[in-house]
Amino acid sequence: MAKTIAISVSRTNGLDSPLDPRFGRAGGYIVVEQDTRTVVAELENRFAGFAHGAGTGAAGLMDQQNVDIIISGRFGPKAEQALAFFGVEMWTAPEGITVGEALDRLAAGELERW
Amino acid sequence: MIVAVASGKGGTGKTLVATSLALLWAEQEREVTYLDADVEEPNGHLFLEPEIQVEERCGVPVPTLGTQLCGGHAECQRICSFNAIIASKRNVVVFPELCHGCGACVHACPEGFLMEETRSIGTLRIGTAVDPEIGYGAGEIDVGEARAAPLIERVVRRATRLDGPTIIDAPPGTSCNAKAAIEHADLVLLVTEPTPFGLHDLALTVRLTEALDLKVAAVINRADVGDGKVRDFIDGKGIPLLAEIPFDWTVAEAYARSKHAFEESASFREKIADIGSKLLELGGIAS
Repeated sequence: MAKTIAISVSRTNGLDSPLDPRFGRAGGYIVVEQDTRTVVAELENRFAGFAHGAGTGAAGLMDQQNVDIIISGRFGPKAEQALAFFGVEMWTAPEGITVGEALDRLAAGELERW
Repeated sequence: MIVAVASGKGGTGKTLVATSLALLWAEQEREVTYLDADVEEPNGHLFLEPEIQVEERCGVPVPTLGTQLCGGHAECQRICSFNAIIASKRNVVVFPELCHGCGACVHACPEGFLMEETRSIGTLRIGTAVDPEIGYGAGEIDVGEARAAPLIERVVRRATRLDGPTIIDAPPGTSCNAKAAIEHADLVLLVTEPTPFGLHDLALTVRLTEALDLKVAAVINRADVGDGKVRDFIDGKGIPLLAEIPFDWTVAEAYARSKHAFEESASFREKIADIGSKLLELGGIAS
């Protein structure tokens, strides 16, 4: 079955969206079908400004979107626990790349597991 | 009368003013109580050296998993405003540090799977300082706890049951912690300093007191440093300015050695006496 990938982004603009290195406090998420690279959803992160609980909230959002793989810069301890609970694979990518480039690097085996 | 000593900015002299007022009123043979609501770093005890009579742990309710099976409805996750509980198809995970203890998840669970237990977050201490006699209460939050308001509420609740003047040493800032410390006060004494940071945070705290509809008065500490903008702000808001305390090495040294500053500086004692009588006047108590 095709896997669903989400990438944390600072603003949503399809495959050109810039990667946001913060998972829980990212501006939004681009949800992509791995095989076809089709953008299935562009999500705003309504938890970004929360004083606490942004990470667990964002993890819940990944679960609702049936995300299998999440690419971000780093994951906070509670976000990590919540994503692991939901069975979402965490991968890290460097800042300054786009969603499209992150997908290319994941496919090329150039990203690291968190 | 309950006076909350608050500041906005940290390090402006809240504890100095609060403990000095407690000592002053105790010398005047008033039945004074000092409550340290700055639970992240309570330090009033260093100056008052109270004997602790009661020490108890203070807790908040958190959801815990019961013996029923989770139905995977995720109602708990949906209702939680703080993302403190997350649910998969067959189980839930609770993040106790994020939980505000409202109990909504327990209520929302259609399976009756969630229950409530008490999680300790800090310690409440009650005692008395002798010579002069001062009632003492303080909270100390456990290291790593993010939310101290429930513990502060426990400390402050004592104030509402006391007759004599009560001084609440509030935490800095304008968060839930600060709100919990000042909301039951008859008067909020704002201790500030004439610096840009002092002014910025004072303005925020004044907004908080306005939102809570609280009576305020102000003291400018280290009044001879910085500029006149804090004074202009206080005047512009029509806030009674009870005193301007100049910087004084004697006071700073006494305070650093946890001594009673007003026993070592006559001019500082005068300022505190002035603040004390004006506060009693504002509170409608004959001095």
